[in-house]
Amino acid sequence: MDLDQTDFSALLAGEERAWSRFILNARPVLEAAVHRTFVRQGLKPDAGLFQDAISASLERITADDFALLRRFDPGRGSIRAFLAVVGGSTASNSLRAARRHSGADLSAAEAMAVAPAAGGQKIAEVVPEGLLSDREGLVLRLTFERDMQGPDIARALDISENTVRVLKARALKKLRDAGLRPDGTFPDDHNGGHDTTSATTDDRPVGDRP
Amino acid sequence: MTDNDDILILIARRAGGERLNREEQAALDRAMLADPDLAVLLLDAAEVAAQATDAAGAARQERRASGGRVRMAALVMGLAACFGLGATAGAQLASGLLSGGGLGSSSQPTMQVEFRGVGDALNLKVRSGSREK
Repeated sequence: MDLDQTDFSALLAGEERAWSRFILNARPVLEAAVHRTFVRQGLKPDAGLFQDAISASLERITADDFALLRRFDPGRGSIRAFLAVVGGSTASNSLRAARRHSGADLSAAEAMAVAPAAGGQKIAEVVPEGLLSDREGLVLRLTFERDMQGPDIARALDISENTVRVLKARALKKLRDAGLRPDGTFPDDHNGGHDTTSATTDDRPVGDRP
Repeated sequence: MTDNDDILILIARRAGGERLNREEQAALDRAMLADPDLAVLLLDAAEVAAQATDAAGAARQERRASGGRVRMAALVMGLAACFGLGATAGAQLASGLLSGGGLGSSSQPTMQVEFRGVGDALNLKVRSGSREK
């Protein structure tokens, strides 16, 4: 018996045998999803954190009288994709929580992996509100903040690669037309006369900053 | 459709290859705009799910093939015993079927074994031919 034959009504009724079978079948998918998240974030799967993330994924599925599982409709989605999303999301949350605790056993590689995101300027902080449509802003964020390629962005947004190219070109043109400077700032007439890099209080040119 | 669980469900549906309606996709776009990591989660989940589906399909096929080989081996042993080939010859033939991928392997011609009762004895008919592609 595999995941395709999962008896959801038995799971939602809390039947022990159904849950034993389900956990046995779900575990490899959860492990793969957690492993992938760890590796993407530059971590070797640490035994403790790895197992914690898998347990937390299962707890998340069963929490609040199976609230999350109840929202999953087997007729409108794959149980493997559902498990992979829960596993990946829970692993990310576990890593975030671990980072908040100074004593967390995270490797140096992981610290390097998060450094650029923490130090980099975010598109949303630079671009004046309302200048770009949601989709244009999203394409720029995925391109420049997550380093995603056109085909991946197309898959994530369920649009064609050509549409991704058009959205990106249009967004960049809008930014150029609005006078975006190489240091990521706009002329003073945007955002009520304030420099849009409001998150950066340092007035020195980018090259002079530490 | 804006709470976290709903967004996870939308991501799971997209990762499973389903298309969302315009309203759902717009909700997902907004969530991804607020947290671009959700787009990465979607792509990773799609890949993990596809690999898991492939692995499950392969395991099912292997179970089916192995079950077929066991049944065929049992039949050959039984027939060999009936026709006095002896247990050793029957077992050799049967183990060859089990270890060699069976008669159903796509690279070998298929064989069909039929038997039916004729009086007190069994009539064995073996037909061999090419497998249909």
